[in-house]
Order: sequence, then C-alpha cells, then structure tokens
Amino acid sequence: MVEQSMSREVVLFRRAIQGAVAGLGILIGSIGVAEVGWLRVLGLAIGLLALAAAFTQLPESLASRFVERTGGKRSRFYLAWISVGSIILPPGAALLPAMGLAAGVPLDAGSAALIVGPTVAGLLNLIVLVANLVESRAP
Amino acid sequence: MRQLRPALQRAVLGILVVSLIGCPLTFAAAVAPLGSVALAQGPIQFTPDVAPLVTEEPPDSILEDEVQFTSSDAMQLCGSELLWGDGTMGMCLAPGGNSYYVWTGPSEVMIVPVDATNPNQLGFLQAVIDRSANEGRMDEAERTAALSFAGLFITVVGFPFACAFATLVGCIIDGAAVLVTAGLLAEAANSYTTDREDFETHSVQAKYHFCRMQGNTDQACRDAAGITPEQLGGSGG
Repeated sequence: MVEQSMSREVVLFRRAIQGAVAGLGILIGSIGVAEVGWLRVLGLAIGLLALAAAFTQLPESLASRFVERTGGKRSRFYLAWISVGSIILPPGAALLPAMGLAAGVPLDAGSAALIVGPTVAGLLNLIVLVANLVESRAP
Repeated sequence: MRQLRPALQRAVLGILVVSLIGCPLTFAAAVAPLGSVALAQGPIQFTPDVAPLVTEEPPDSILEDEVQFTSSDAMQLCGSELLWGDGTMGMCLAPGGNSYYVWTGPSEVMIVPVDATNPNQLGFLQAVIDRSANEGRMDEAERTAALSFAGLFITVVGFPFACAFATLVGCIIDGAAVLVTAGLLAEAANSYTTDREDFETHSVQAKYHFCRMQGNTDQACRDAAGITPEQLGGSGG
C-alpha cells in the first residue's frame, strides 16, 4: 500500500515537473523570438532543449529521487507549490506587451510572441494541474 | 543546530511564499494605474476639420495636400535614411528633397514643403523621434521583464528541489536568487511605466503638430489631439 502510494506521488510529481520544464521551454523560446541576432538563436535553442527534456526520462528520475529524498513528507505541499508557480509565473511575462497592445502600442512579432508563448505555457500547466487533481482523487 | 536548521528553512520558505504572492501583486499594482488610464481615455479620435484641396496639378507641385497613398508607400518612396518614426506615426523626406511626407496613421499621409523655421514641423519631427525611442525602450523592458519572469519561475519552482538536494545552503541561495530576479522585474516594470507615459505624451504632441501643420487654430488642435498644457510644454511648440 505504501509502495502504491509512493508510486502515485512519483507519477504526480513527474507530470508536474514535465509541465514546468515544458512551460519553461516555451517561455524561453518566446523570449528568443522577441530577441534579435545570436540571442534569438540562443533563446530558441535553449527553449527547444528544455521542451525536449520534458519528454525524456529526466522528469521521472527527478520525481522519484525527490519523493525518495523527502520520504513523502509534505509532498502534496511541494506538488502544489510547483503547480501553482508554473501556472502563475509564465503568463506574467505576457503582462507588459498585453498592456502595451491594449493602450495602442503597435504590435510587432516579438511582442506577439511574448503574449502568446507565456500564455500557452500557463494554460499547459493548468491542464497538468487538472490532470493531477483527477489522478490524485482516483481510487 | 538541528533545531536551527528547520527554523531557518521555515524562515526562507516564509520569505519565498511572501515573494511568490507579493511580487506578482506588486508588479500588477505598479502597472495597473497605467492600464486603467489608457483604457479610460480610449483611442484618441482625431479627424482634421479641413476639406482636401482639389487640384488638377500633380501632388508634387502643390504646397499641402492629402494624397491617396499610405504611410508604407511613403516609406518605400523615401528609403530608410531620412525617415523618422514608424508606419503608424512618422515623417520622411520625399524624393527631390523639397517636401516631407508626414503621417499620423497608415492612411493619413500629408505632403508639406520643407521649412526649417516652422516650429510645428520641428515639433512633429522631435515628437516622432522621441516616440520611437520610447517604443524601443519599451520593447527592451518587455524582454527584460520576460527574462526576469523566467528567472523567477526557475528559482521559485526550483525551490523545493534546491532544499531537498542541496539542503539549507540550496534553500538560501535559491531564496537570494528569487529576491534578485524580483528586483530586476520591479526595475523593468518601473522603466516600462515611465516610457509608456512618455510614449503617450509624444503621440499626442505629434497629433497636435500634425493638426497645426494643416493650418488649424491652436485651440482646435489642442482639443483634437486631447493634449494638456503640461504635455504641450515639453514639445517646444
């Protein structure tokens, strides 16, 4: 029973970490699009790498090590911390360009990327949170 | 020592909880008045009260006329060297060097003869140059804020991992990184707010001078542009 509970924690953590890493990849990729020259290449490269890392064994390995390390103590609190942070913080990056757009500042490609990318990252993590809530309530 | 470490961890955790809630709230509070003012004012409706001059001659030979091409057509004709502003508001030296194409909207282009002593021409030029500079700095602040949010995201979400894998030292370093990124974010928001206000000022100054170049009275142009005496004072016109 304890093992089953532990593996469920790992699954929830893995999903939250996947969402956070993918969200970070999308956010950094969007910043890359808004930049120019080699900064754009660097931003896009780091963003793509982070996005790819979300689909490797890294999140699962990190999740199992984290659950093992903390021994399951306060794991739901940490899980909520990661999920809520991943939902709130990326869309914050869209706030300034969105306000500029609302006030009539001409919208360029960089500002558009900074509005769309971080919003998508936040929504993605909202979906992850809902999936985790459903999973955690399942018998 | 064993009692001290959890106590310190709780203290760092407490600071982070306050930062996580407080930073976005402070950031939103800093920029909210700007948004509400902009939304309350709405877009400035500017309709020049001057009928277009009807003439049989080609546009090059008349002193002042609204022409049927857009700001992008004008920018294409002028080239990039003697061009100020952007497609939404700007001016450029027309081919031949005797007149300027001036616009305050993509489809509101006017030809005016070059006159270095005309204060409204100079005022418009200065306003669109300053407006473009503000716009550039706003783009820069947007990117700095986005980078700061990415840093805040990494440090806040990484906090449990830093504490779990690197214990107390990790917690403290991560906490310090949260504070640094929050500080950078606040600075970017402050810079953006200042430039946003200046951008609005220079936009109405340009609209005022555009109106004056069409031969309208000072009061009519003040009303049309919605410019305050303080905003006009900085334009030199």
